[in-house]
Amino acid sequence: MTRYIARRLLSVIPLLIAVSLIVFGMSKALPGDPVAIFLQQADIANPELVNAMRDKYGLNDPLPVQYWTWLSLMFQGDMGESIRRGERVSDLLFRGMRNTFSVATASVALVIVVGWTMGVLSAVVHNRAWPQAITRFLAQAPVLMISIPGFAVAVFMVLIFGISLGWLPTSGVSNPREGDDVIDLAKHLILPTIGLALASVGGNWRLARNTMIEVLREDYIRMAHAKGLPLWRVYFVHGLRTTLVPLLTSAGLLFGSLLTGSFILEYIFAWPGIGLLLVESTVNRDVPVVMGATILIASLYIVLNLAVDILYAIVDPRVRYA
Amino acid sequence: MILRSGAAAVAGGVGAAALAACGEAEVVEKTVTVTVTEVKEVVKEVPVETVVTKEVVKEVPVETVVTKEVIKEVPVVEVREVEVEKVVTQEKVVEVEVEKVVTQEKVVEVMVENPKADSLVIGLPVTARVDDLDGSQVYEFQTKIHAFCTSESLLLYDYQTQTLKPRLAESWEVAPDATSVTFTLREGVTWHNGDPFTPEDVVFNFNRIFRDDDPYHAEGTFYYNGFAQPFYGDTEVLDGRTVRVNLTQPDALAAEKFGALDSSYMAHPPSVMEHGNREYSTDVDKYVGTGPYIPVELRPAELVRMVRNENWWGPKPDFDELIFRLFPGGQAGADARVNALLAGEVDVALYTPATRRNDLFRTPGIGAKWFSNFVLGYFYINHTFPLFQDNRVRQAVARSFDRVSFYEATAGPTVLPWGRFWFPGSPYLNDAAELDYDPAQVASLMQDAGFSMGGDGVWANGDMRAEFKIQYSGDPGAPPDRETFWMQGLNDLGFSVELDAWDPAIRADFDSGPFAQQNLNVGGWGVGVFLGDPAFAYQRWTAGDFFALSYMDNAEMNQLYQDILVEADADNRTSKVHRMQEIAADQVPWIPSTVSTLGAAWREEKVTNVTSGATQYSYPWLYKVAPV
Repeated sequence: MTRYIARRLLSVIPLLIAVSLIVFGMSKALPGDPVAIFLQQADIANPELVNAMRDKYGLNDPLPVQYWTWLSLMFQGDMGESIRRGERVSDLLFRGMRNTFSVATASVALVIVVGWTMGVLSAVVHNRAWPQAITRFLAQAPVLMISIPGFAVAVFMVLIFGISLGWLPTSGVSNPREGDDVIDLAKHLILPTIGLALASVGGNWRLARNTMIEVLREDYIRMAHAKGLPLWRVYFVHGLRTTLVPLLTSAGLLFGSLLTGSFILEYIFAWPGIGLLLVESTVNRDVPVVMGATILIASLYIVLNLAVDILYAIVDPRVRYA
Repeated sequence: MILRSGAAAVAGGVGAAALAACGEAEVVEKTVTVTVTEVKEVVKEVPVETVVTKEVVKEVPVETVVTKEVIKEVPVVEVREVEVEKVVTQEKVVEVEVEKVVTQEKVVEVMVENPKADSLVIGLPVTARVDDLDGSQVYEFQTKIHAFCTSESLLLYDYQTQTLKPRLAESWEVAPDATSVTFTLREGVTWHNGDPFTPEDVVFNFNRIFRDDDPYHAEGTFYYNGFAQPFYGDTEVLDGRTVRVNLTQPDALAAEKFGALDSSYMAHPPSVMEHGNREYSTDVDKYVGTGPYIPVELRPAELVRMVRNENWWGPKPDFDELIFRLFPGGQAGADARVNALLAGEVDVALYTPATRRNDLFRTPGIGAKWFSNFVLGYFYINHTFPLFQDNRVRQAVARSFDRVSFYEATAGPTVLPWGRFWFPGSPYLNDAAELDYDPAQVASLMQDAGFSMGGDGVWANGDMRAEFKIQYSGDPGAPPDRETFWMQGLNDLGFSVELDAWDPAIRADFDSGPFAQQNLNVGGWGVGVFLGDPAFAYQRWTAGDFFALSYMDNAEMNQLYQDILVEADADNRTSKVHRMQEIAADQVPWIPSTVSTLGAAWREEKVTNVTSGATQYSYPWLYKVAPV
């Protein structure tokens, strides 16, 4: 296992270099000069200043020199400085990732707690003599969740719970009047998390339900029943363990997609996460930030995939790596 | 009563004469006239002051306990004269004393646990540096709002009156030959750390801002110093309160440029030397200014927190604490800002979007305003394009845009439709120099230019058809409403116009982009003007880069610009600027479209009004916010 992990990690390096080359090439191929765009937004008429700033950020160097400078600094842990914000790219990414990580983690937690639980529950009651209204609800509710776009629900929730009722904050990560504590952060997380996770809760609910129903039809489950094991043990030890394999894969991929795909929710809730940062930086041709963010996200995907693979082995002992 | 007495006397005289004529015994009647005077007292109430002392308990923050007495006059009784009867023959006014209560409020100080009770939270769209607190280096308009709370310039350009006002300098004088400007500094000004503000500080700052060879200039990025730098020679200290800026060439605008321009803000020299001039840092001790508020917390992408500077030289600002809550730029941040205001998370929201104006106007307890500012929206017009080489055609095109109808239908108060070459309410505005919508004049101008209406409904002059493109930056499938509206209007008036989309990212490329002269027909652009003085704006006529207002090179206009640079007489300057606008209306180097506005909305439970302040972006409105 250790050799496997080490080999996977080493294979990441050429992949990241390839990613950086592609992103660098694409960012340079885009029309528009980052310094001119930056100054144009402030309506500054000073060609000397434009040239001085281009010098400062190395934009007057030949492209290979620019790339090599960036790469060598990157290996020294220096991702450069944002043209637009002046801040170190590493600081910007850390802050953006911290904010996105918090909402993505909360979303995955919601998916696990609500989606998986309800999915497993609805599989357990499947074909049982429960009231039809309940079984239908358990079967149809996730379809409804998947059908309604999360961002539309988010806007609606802001109007109801934020503006009309005043129960929850409408945007941002903290209330400047109340301080910066965990409870305040939790309050700010509720609406973005629901908006971000809604469709995934529905999807995982259905996935858990279908998988569990399939698993409960397996021979080894029948054997467990025949052995006279208590129902809870059959369902939640033998059945659930097998069900978890595809669910873990789904959660791993979901976490990765939430880290990069939360832009719309970050947009609606003015949540200063990595998605909003990446889109703003791309629009403004803030190349150092775009490069740094892309490498970070690619690395995260790779690490997450690796983590999921390792979890497979833990959950399902049949999975082994040579 | 007087009438009745007179009638009795006349009747007595007539009766005596009649008796004598009849020969009867003579009875002498003596007419006695009695005048009865009734005296009626009219009560007139005259106020005398009675002082009632009333204790008002006011919570004040623990850190800033301030004693103040408020005297408030409350007229309790209204004095009214009452006429009782009309038969009064003589009025004797009896003065009756009534109470006029003067309430004297004595503020009793109570220490409260929450020191942020008098905080004001302002929602701002900010995407740039959170540490941009040095007014001479900040570049983003929105960021200036909090930067200008902490740092100050020598003078203030008052956009309302378009005059200079004292700030860190009490007075100023431009030399008669316009080769220097002398500033007399205000007494008793201190930096936030308590150090006195001195003439040597001004020398340090002007050198770091305007001299390329200054060691602290190299570290900084002074985005807006380009207007003044070519004129700067040096600064010398004349005495303990006076400095003189010597110019390299005459400039009648020296006081504006060096006293009030965005780049001329003062930073505490030892702090600059210790912390560097431009190194990014969220350390609040890095920047030390003189302004009414002191920064105490900087959280990137989240907030800037400031507390009141109790030692500020000006009137005491209203709020103990200002918190600028930072939102993303664009529509996302704008919506979130309005939502936060409606939910009570912020007290004031700035740059409120047009799309939410109905929400703001209809919500009880929310006040909203849009202030016009000094950003003129306009269209470029390429006068070298064959169709547009005749200025009458350019005028016709400019007069074909029904700005008022369009902006009333789409933008409400958030922009001001504008067909003139200077700003509303300004003494420099030549109101007669306009290019307002006028279909009849469009036809007349085209006919004067030799065009006649063709069978296809398009103006033509020989082989030349009135055919061109309106260019815009953006998605080819989603042209802006403004350009679409105007295109339809032009087509209705006999032009053949198409829309042409360009990638927004290359619009700043003036060699090959959409505004390159060989590519441009008509295109939307826009410009900010840093001061309300036309010399700054019209300088762009001659600037020759892509921020210039026009490609056009007009000898009279160029000369007028050079003249007003050294024209110290206000009336002469105004008349020259008026002439510049006449030339612009005649030559149509660009087509004015709008004057931008800055939207502000606020919760009336916290503030009663927000004024636009004296500057465009602007520092003083923050303490002109009227608290409840």
